[in-house]
Amino acid sequence: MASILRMPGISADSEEAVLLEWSVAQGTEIHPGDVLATVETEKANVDIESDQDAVLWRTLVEPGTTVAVGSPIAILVAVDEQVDDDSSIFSALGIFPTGGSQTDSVPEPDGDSLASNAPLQEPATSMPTGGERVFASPIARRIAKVNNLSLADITGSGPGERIVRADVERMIARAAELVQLAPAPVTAQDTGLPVEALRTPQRAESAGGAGYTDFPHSNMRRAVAKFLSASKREAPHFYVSATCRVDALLALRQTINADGSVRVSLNDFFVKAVAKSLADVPEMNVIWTDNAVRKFDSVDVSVAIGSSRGLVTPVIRSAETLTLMQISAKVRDFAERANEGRLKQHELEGGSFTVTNLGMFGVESFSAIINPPQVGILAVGAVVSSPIVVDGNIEVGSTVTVTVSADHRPVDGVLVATWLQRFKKLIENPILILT
Amino acid sequence: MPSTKNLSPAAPWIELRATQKDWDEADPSLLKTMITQLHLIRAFEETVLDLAGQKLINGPAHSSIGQEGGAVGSIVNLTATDQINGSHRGHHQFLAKALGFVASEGLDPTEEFSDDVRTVLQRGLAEICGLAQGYCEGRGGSMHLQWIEAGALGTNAIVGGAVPFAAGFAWSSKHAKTDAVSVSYFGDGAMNIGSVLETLNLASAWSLPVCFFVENNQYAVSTTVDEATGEPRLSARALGFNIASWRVDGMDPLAVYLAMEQALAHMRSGGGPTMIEANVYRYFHQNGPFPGSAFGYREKTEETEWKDRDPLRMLEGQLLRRKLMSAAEVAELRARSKKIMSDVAGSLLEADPVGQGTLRFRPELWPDPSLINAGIRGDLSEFANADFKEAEDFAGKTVSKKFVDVVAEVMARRMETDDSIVVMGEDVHKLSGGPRGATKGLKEAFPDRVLGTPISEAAFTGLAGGMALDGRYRPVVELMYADFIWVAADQIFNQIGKARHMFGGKHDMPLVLRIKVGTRTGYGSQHSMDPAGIMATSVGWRIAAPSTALDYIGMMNSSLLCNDPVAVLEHDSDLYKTFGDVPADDMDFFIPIGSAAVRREGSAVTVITYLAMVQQSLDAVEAAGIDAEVIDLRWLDAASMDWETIGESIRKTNNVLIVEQGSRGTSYGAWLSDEIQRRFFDWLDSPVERVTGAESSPSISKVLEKAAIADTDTVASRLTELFGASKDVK
Repeated sequence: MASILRMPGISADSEEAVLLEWSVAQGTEIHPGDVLATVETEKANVDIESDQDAVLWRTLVEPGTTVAVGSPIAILVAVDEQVDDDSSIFSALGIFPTGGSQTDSVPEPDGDSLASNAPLQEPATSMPTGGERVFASPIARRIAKVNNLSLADITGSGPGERIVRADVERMIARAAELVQLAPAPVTAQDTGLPVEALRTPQRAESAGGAGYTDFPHSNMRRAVAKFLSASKREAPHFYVSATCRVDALLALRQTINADGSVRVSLNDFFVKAVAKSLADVPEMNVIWTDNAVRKFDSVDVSVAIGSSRGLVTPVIRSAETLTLMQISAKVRDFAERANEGRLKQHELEGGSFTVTNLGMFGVESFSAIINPPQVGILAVGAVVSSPIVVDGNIEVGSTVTVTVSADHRPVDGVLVATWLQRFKKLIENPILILT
Repeated sequence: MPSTKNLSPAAPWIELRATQKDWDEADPSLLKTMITQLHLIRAFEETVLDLAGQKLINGPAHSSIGQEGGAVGSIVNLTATDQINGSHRGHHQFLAKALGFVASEGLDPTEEFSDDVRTVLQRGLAEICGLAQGYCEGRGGSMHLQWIEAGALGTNAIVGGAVPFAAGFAWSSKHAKTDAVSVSYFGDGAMNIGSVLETLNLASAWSLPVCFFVENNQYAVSTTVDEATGEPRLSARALGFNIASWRVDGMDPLAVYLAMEQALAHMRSGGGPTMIEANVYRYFHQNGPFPGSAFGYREKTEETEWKDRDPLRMLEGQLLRRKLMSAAEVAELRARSKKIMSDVAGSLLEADPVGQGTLRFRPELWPDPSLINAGIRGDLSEFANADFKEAEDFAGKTVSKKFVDVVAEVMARRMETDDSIVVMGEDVHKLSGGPRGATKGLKEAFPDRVLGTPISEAAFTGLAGGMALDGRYRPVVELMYADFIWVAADQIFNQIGKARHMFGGKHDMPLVLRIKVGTRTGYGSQHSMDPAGIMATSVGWRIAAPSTALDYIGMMNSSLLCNDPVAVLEHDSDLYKTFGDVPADDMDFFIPIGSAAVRREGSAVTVITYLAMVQQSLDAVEAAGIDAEVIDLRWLDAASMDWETIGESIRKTNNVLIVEQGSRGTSYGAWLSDEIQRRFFDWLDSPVERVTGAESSPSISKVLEKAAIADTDTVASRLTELFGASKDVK
């Protein structure tokens, strides 16, 4: 029995993904757990694994193609299944391949006899799943279908908000830039639309004489831009800062590191302290949603990692339950895999709060943009030696300035100040972090 | 008190009766042939009625029983080159002509029927039954029987519709300098219809050897002759047209033979047309196996009186009297005639497996339904060696000429190279090339092939149709205004357009109908139509709509090479006076039927147009500043659409605007937009849009005329309205 392999919904807010490569060839027998393909989303590369014994009979999209979530990408048939002809399988499954090696030309009868021309039947083009009909011109539907775009995502500029060709073209222009290296299989020949691979730096001389080079956006760069822009646009940020004395923390760290084989970083302490203070002030462990303020049962904290491939923010689940060592190991693992591009999508999702640290660069203080839909982000500065007034005397101590960027929709200033107060107490009395 | 003088018709009007002496002197073989034909036809018709009574005949079976004498008597002396056509009631004439063709030496009533005779009966019956082995492959049926080889050029379901064609056969025979004649058979009901009266006049005017044979069977369905006309002596009609006329008892085959003998002598000697009124009687109702009395419009006694004068009995009586046949031989002839028809019918029939003892036609004998559209038009194989060229092939080798002068020049060139071309129309022979000069110089150069016609569109268009069907000549008919297609509608649409397919799809119909479009001439509501929509939605016609003088040459050459009827649209006010570059020394090139021309390349919208609106659309595109692609269709009929060019453009622009000049009601674009949306649905970004004139016909008043038709302004504003806003998006 033939079945359809569809593009999985890899992350909640991603409606398309790029099929990077097929790991097995057409006609290969596959078994549960075999990797069939690698898919790239804005945040991660994911292996699609087989969940059955089957044969990968036909692939429907070429590597490099951007595919809407839910769209067919391959046909699987049973191991011993006899397949006579493609069209019967396709029609039995109710799908009409457009990409890959399948051509999509419209048959046109010759003009000799009108009545001999049966009306041309075209498969229905991409309709939004469920909901109301989206008005789109036939060519817009066709192009959207060929490019695996969902009409539901496109705003129509035609009469009655009808989606017209230009609207789909704009969407494709965006999608085209997300396509990996090779041109998509849907080429100008099929659609009249160039789907350009804008991956190569473009060198140019400007009119004013100064030369420049355009470095096309990477997926990750785009994702960062998209999310942070959305964050700044939608989440009203406010900022609360505190300077924490960290002499005790530094001493504790030295003790720990001197003892064991594992080296913990200062940042590990900050992550653990954030987790603990969020557990202690649970009103802060929330996010804003359209209809409610969502309060979490556990504390999931993201860690900003500037990997060689760009900024990622993997999530440490239930961080309040993990020991400092466990958190340290987790962060180290994340950092390694981020550099290799091997973070899993699920590791990048969720969390209510992020810790970001530029202290290693000597930055004393900074404020960060919230990683949506989280409630806040803690920007950690460098350890500096500062004059500190203790009991009326000035002494030299080590301090770190931290700045919370908070989403004012779910939380108010008093709450953030209360939380920051708790955080500062933990940092300055680090033994509490370990309890 | 005015002075008066009794006038008399110029033509003779003769009532002819066969005398005893005529019977005594009649050639025995003539009488034997006639009695054999009469019995075969009678038995054939009885078989048809038998099948009709079993509901095996689809549609009407118009029986000729009772009328056989007129057919046999008038046809038995015709040669194979003499041509006949007929009406809806034409089995008997068709059979008489076909039997005369396969047994030209006569038939012996005592001999076994030949295989050829049997074939005639079988193919004739099969045709009436709608079976593939029929003469017209089952397409013609009872009312469209044709066997061109035998000189039976087709019976006809339109009352009077076939008559103009017969004049065309006669013109061809006369011009070919043969003594062959044509005979058009029609009934008393057709005597009062326009096409017949027009053709009487035209045949007389041109002295054509055509016999108008009126079978006066006393009833047009149920209406009597006396009810239908103030002159029930139908042969009197001929006198008004100076046509020699005979009246004869159609129940007497010898009398009819003798009348036709005189008429033939008149026609073969160049005396012009003749009319024979044969008074006959159909024993049955209009159609079907029941007598007319059963329907209450006549008495049984009247039927009995006519049956007492039955032509078979009359001829048998004379044969017995002259001892040319015995009673036993007559009885045996009857029996053998019934037998051969029974055999023929039996070969077509089998027991109906689901019927209650009923019969059905053997299923394998039906025509193939998938071939329903085959042969509507020819396959254009006549273009195999054509020298196709386009404007770019003449770059640098052109001269500027006035469009209308080119119209006349290319025709002159073709008439010079092809003796079969005959030009006709109103005033085409005078006024230095007709009303607009489109036939300038033709009459002087080809005096016997340029025919100025009476104002009788049905007659001369139909006459041309007959010439085309005959095939010896290639008529070119000028319609002075497009609106006159309605005047000649039966001939254009029912006859010429359908002739090829209806009679089996095999014979060519080479005819060019030059239609002058009178839009914007100020001639008002009845002279201003664009006929493209009507012509395009009527089957059988190809349509040429040249927008430039150069195209006109190549397209007229192709139209004159094509073996299908081609309507060539010519625009008087918008194109005739324009000048265009044409080849300096080539009047012989062809432009392929079915090739459109892209006049302007663009990306925003595909403007599809033709004829005068090509230039106006180009002007409008520039005025609107929209990057439109403009396609000049050139050929407008459904079979000649250049879908490749249209499709390529639509796949590029995704928008379509069909532009035409004339009224919305008879719009050409309606069918085209339907076809486009089905063929190119997935390539469209907006509904297929149309520019047409108003619902109203153009009026005389200058401002109302402009308001009624589309022009450059209309197209420009529509372009701006539809595509102006989006042009920066593109």
